[in-house]
Amino acid sequence: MMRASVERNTALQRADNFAAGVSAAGTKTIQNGRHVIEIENVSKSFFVYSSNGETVITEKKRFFSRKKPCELVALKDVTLSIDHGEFVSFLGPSGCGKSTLLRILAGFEYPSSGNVKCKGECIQGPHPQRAMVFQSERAVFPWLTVEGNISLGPRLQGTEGEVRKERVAKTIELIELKGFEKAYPKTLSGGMLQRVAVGRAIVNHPELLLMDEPFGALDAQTRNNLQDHVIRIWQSIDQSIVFVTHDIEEAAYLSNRVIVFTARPGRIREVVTINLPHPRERTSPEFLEYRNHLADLIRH
Amino acid sequence: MELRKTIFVLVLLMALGFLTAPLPAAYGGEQVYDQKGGPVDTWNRPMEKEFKVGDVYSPVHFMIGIAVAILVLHLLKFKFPKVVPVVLVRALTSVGILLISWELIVYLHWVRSVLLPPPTTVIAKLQGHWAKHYLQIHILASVQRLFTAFFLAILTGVPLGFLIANFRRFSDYVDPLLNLIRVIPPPAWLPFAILWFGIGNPPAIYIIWLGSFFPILLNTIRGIRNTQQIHIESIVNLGGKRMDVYWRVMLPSAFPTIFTGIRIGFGIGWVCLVTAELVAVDAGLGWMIEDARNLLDTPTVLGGMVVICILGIFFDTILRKTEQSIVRWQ
Repeated sequence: MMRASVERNTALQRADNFAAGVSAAGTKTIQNGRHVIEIENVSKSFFVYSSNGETVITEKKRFFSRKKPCELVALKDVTLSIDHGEFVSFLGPSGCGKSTLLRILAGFEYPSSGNVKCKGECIQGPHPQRAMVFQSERAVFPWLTVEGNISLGPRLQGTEGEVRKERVAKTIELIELKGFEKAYPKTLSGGMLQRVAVGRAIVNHPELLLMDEPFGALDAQTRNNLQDHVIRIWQSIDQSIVFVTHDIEEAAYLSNRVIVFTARPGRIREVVTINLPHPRERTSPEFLEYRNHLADLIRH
Repeated sequence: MELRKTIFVLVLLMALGFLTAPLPAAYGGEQVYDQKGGPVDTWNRPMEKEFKVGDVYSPVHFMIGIAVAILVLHLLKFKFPKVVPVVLVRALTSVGILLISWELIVYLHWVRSVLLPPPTTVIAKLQGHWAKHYLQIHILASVQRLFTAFFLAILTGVPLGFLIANFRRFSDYVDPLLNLIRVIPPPAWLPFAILWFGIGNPPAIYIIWLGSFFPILLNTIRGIRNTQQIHIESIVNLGGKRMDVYWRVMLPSAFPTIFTGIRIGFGIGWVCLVTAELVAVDAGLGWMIEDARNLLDTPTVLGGMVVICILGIFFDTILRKTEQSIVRWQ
C-alpha cells in the first residue's frame, strides 16, 4: 500500500518535473530497498600475452600462443546494489576497473564470473534503458545537428511525429542549448558537446544513466558548471545515475554514495554515504571532511 | 537533410538521363551512300577547304586583346579589391601569359604551326567543328559513355567495399582476387575487352569502369573500417539494431572518404576514357583526336585536348561542390 502510493507520487513528480524542465530542489526521493541494479560477486579478467615488448590483451584465453601469458584481473568480487533514484559515484585510481564495471552495466562487456541484474533480469547486452554518456565528446555524431543527435534515440525507439518533437525540445531546454538546435557539433565547444551527449542519453527517460568520466577532458570552470547541471538534471528526471570519476572533489560534490575502489585488482574498499543536501558548498567544513576522508581512502 | 535528398534525386536523374538518352546520329550532316549501299563517309568531317584557318582571328589582335584584358583585370583588382577575387585574377594572368607566349612563338616562326598550332587556329577550328555539330556529337558520346561506366563503378564499388569492410570471411576470399586484378592497368584489358564485348560502347565502358572502380572500392573499405568504435557503441546503446549501425553510423561517417574515392575514380575514368576510345568505338573525343591524328589535322588534336581539359575541370568542380554541400558537417 505504502509502496504503491510512493510509486504513484514519484511518477507524477517525474512527469511534472520533466514538463517544467527545471529543477525543484529537495523533491528528489531515493527509494531505499528498490534496487535498480544488483551486482553479485562480479569478477572480470583479461588475458595478457607479451613478448619482446609487444603486448596483446584479449578476453579469451589463447591456448597455442608463443607469447608469455598472464592473467590481468580488472575486478574481483564486487558486490553492490544501486537503489532507484540514487546518485552513485565510482571512485578509484586509474586502471582500477571502475570503467570496466560501468561497461559491464551498460552491456558492452560481460563479467567473467558473477551476476549483474537490472531490475531482476540478467543484463544481455546494451539496452536504451541503461543510457551511457561516454568519456570523449567525440561520441556525439558529427554528421547530425544537435537536434538530430538528440532525436536519434526516440527515432530508434519508434517514437514519431509530435511526441518526438516535443520530447526533443524539452530535452534541449533541459540541457540549456536552446538556439543551437541546427548547429553541427564542429561549431560547439567541448562542454556543449558533453551536454548534447547527456541530452542524447536522457531523452528516452532511461532507468539508469551511466556516465564514464564525462568531464575528464574539460577545464575546471566548465567542469564545475556542468556538475551543477548534472545535479539539476538528476533532480528533475528522478532516475539513478552512476558516475565514474577519478576526481575526489567531483565525487564528493555530486553523489549520495561514493564507492571507493582499490588499485588493481579492483575491489570495493569502502562505501561512503554523503549526507549533505544539494546544492553543496565546496568550502564548508562537512564537505571538506568527506573530501579528506575520500582522499585518505584513495591514497592508502 | 532536405538538401541531401535534393542532390540525391538530381544525381539519380542525371544518371537516368545519361543511361536512357538516345544515341545521337553518328554523323553531322547528310549521310552519303555509294552505289552498293554502304556508308562511305559517315562522319562528314569538316575539312580544311571548308573554312579558312587563320583568317578568322588575327594573331596580333589576339595577343594584344589578351594583354589588354590582363591589364584591365589588374586595374579592377586594384580599384575594387573587395569585389574582384584576387586569386582568380592571378590565375587568369598566368593562363593569359601562357596563351600570349604560345601564340608568339608560332607567330615569330620559331616553331612550325603544324607542330604546335597556335591558340587562334585551335579556336577557329573548334568553332568550325561546333558550327557543324561535329564537336557536340563527340562530347555527348564521350560523356555518356563516361557516366554510364562511372555510375556502374559507384553502384558496384560502394556495396562491394561495404561487404569487404564488414564481413571478415568474405573479405578473406575476395580481397586477394581484387588485389590481383587491381595491379593490371585497365588499358591492358583492351584486346580482351574487344574480344569479349565486341566493337562499340561495351568494351570502352568496361575499361572505364575498371579504372574508376578500384579507387571507389578501396576508399569505401578504408572509410568504413575507420568508423569509430565509440560511434557504434553509442548507437547500439541508444537502441540501434544492426541495420541502424550500417545506415546511420557507418555510411555517414565513411561518406567523406567514399566521396574522395569517387572523385579520384572519376579522374582515372576520364583518363581511361580517352585511351579506350582510341580503338573499338566510332565516336567520342578520344576517337576525334585519333582520327585527326591520322589526317595530320593537328589543330583538331589540340582542340580535342582543350575540350577534354575544360570538361574535366567542369565535372570535377561539380563533384567538389556537391561534396562540400553534402559534407557540411566537416
